[in-house]
Amino acid sequence: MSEQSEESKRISQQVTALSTQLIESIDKQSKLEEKLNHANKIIASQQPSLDKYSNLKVEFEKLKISSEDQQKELDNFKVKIRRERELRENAEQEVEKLSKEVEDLTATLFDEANNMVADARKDKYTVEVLNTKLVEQLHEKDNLLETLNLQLKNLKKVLQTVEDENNSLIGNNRYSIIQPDSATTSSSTTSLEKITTTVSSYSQNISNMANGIIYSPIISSIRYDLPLYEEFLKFIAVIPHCRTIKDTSSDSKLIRRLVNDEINPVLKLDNASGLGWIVRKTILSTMMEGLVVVEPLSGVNETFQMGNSTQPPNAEASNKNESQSSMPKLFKFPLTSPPIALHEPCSFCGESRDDIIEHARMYVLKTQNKQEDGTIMVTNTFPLCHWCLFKVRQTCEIFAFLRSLKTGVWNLEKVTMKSISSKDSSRFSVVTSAIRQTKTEDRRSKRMSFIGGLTKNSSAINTAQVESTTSMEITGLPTTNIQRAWIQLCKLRSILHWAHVGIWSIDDSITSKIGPEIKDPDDKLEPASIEANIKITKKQIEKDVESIISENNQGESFDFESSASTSGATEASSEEKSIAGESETKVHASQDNSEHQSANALEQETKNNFEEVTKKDIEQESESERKPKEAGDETLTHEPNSISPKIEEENKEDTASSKASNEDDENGTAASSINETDDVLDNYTDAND
Amino acid sequence: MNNEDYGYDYDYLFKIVLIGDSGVGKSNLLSRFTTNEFNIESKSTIGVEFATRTIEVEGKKIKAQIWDTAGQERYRAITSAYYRGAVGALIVYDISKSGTYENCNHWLKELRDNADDNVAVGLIGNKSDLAHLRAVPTAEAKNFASENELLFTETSALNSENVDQAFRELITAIYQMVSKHQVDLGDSGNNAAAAPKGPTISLTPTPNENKKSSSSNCC
Repeated sequence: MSEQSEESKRISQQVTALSTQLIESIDKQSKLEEKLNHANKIIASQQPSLDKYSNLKVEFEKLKISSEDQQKELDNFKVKIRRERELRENAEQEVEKLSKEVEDLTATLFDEANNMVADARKDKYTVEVLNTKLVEQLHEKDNLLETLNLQLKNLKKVLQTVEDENNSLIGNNRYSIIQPDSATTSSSTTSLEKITTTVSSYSQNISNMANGIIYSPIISSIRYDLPLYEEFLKFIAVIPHCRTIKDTSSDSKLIRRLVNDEINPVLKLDNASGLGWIVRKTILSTMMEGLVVVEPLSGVNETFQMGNSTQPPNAEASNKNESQSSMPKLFKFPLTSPPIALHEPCSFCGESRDDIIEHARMYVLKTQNKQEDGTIMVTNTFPLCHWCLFKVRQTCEIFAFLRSLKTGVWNLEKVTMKSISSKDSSRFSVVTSAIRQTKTEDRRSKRMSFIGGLTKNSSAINTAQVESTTSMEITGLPTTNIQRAWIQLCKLRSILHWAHVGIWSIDDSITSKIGPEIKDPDDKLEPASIEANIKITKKQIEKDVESIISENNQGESFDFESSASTSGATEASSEEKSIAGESETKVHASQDNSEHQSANALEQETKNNFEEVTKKDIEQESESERKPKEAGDETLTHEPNSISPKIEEENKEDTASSKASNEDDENGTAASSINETDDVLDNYTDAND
Repeated sequence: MNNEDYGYDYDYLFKIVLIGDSGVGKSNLLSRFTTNEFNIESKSTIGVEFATRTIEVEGKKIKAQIWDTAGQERYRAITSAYYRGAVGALIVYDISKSGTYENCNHWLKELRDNADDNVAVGLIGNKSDLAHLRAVPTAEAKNFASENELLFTETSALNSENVDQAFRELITAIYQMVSKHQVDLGDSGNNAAAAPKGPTISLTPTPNENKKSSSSNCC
């Protein structure tokens, strides 16, 4: 027993141990199984994730590939970029270079342009300066030219003045010989108005009676108080409103009076057998309208001088020869041909002789007719002998002059019918005015210096001028253009009268040229032109020059009108002249005394001529009477004051001529007596010495 | 700097001389043409006077510079100098004075001696208002003018009859001559100095002038 208990004990122990092991294994198995299930379950649950993962893996692969592709591409790009960058850098460099170049170019361009502009400006400036200078020079030249022109004008005026003075001097020597104007070739200068005369030696004058003047009045003795002058004023008043001069007949009797009193008696139209009845009636009005032509049958007729006129100047003759040989002919007939005349008798006077040139009918009068369209037709022609030619032409001259008054060239003063009727026109009848006097004084003072230069003894002459200031008044020269026109009319009328008296021609006698005083617009300082100046001072200058001449010629007087002749004046010195001028002034200054003083002068003259012995008496006489006047004016001392009717009666014969001029004096036109008084007073001073 | 002061507003400048005896009315013709004035008491010209007037001929403005010369014999020595450069001349005579007409020959000769060969010349019988003193019949003067190839007009400066016309005719004649001459010049082209436009002073006389002066001018 122990060995089996021990063995049963030991088996029981082994069985217990084995049973515990079994339970434990089973439990472990269930646990494992559960774990398996669980794992299965996890596996099952993990399956989609796995799927997803594989999908992702595929996708990843794909992406990896594409990424590689892209990487490659990227590399390519990178290369490209690098290349581009290089290119760009190159380009940029180039651009920079270019832009720099452009900049340079622009700079140079501007530089150049600026330079050019500067150059141009410089050029322009120089040109402008030059231009300015040139213009300045031009202006300077203009000024110079203007000055020179002015100077030339003034010089010309002076020259003309000198010429006029010479002419007036010559013209005043009324006994001078008229010579053909040999200085000029043309015979034209032997015109009606302008005759150039030359003074030859005095002795020749006397011997050469053929050229003596028959009679001619002087301007200062023309009357302005005649009824006809009033008609003339009326004519002037209405002429601006009339179409023709004939239309004035209703207002002015001038034309009627001229025709009836002066023209008809000369022309004797009623006896003009050659004119038809109608022509006789109308010819005067045709002449008035200026529709007549008086012309030579040929111009060659004019080369034959009429009447006592002289041979044509030599120069003309040589011209003729010349023209014959080489020049085309001037006339229808050669210059050597005889004058052309008609056989028909003169239609005015019936002259039918063919013996001398003056009887021949070398001229024709053509009457014209104005057509409606303005053209002029010759209606009739009438032959004229030379005498009738002269008369007809002179008649036409009068009408032509009257027509010219309408044109305004005479610059006439305004007059109206009213002013004439109310006697306002006296200012056109009176030849002096206060204004005129002051004006002439101005001018005279200007003239004096000139005259002074002319003379050797200028101071003496000047005194004479100063003292003779008022003597201007009494010269009787016209002061208005109307008066000048009237003088012109008087001249034309007197020529007509001369034609009536029976002369062939007036071509070779002296006439003064009369014209209006026209104010020169250029002369601003001098209101009237020198022309007028000359007119006014003419008389005075004549006197001055006369005294110069008398000085030079030892007092040989040129004035025949003076009754004193040459006897007393021979020793006249210029100083005495000046005294004469003084006293003359006084004579005319005091109108009251003028008559009185002239008488004195006459008396003095007669005394001087006939009673040398009485010299002392005169002196005493005059001195005694002089004294009361001396108080008033010292210059009066030179005046003779004594009247001695006894002596005057004794010398009646000698004073006859003086008396005539004395009457003139009374009329206020004492010009002619001035010279006389001059000489008388010379004599007086002689006597006093 | 006003160029207008110097009057460049013309296309041509013609120099015209007025010649003729003393007292025929040259100065009054000129004053009538240029300023429409007439001076009954005009003095004889000393030396020379000028005046200009611009007129229009065939659309061209022509400035006529007219030289009024002294007719008196004593100025004859100077007057010959005035012909230089003249393209036109008017020989004036007085219809009432035969002598002035007879001297036209002399004036014509002097003109031909001193002036250009192709100077245009007009003959003018002035003072036609003095029909009653007429000494030169119109027909004879007209005949004389046509024989010498001169233009001819009778004028009156006093009543301004035909004055404008006379100047215009002359200026037109000059213009026609000048424009024709210019065409000729365009063809030949070598003779520019002889262009009549404007006064030209040739210092060396052409052979033609030489010949002329030797044959005619004695002094």
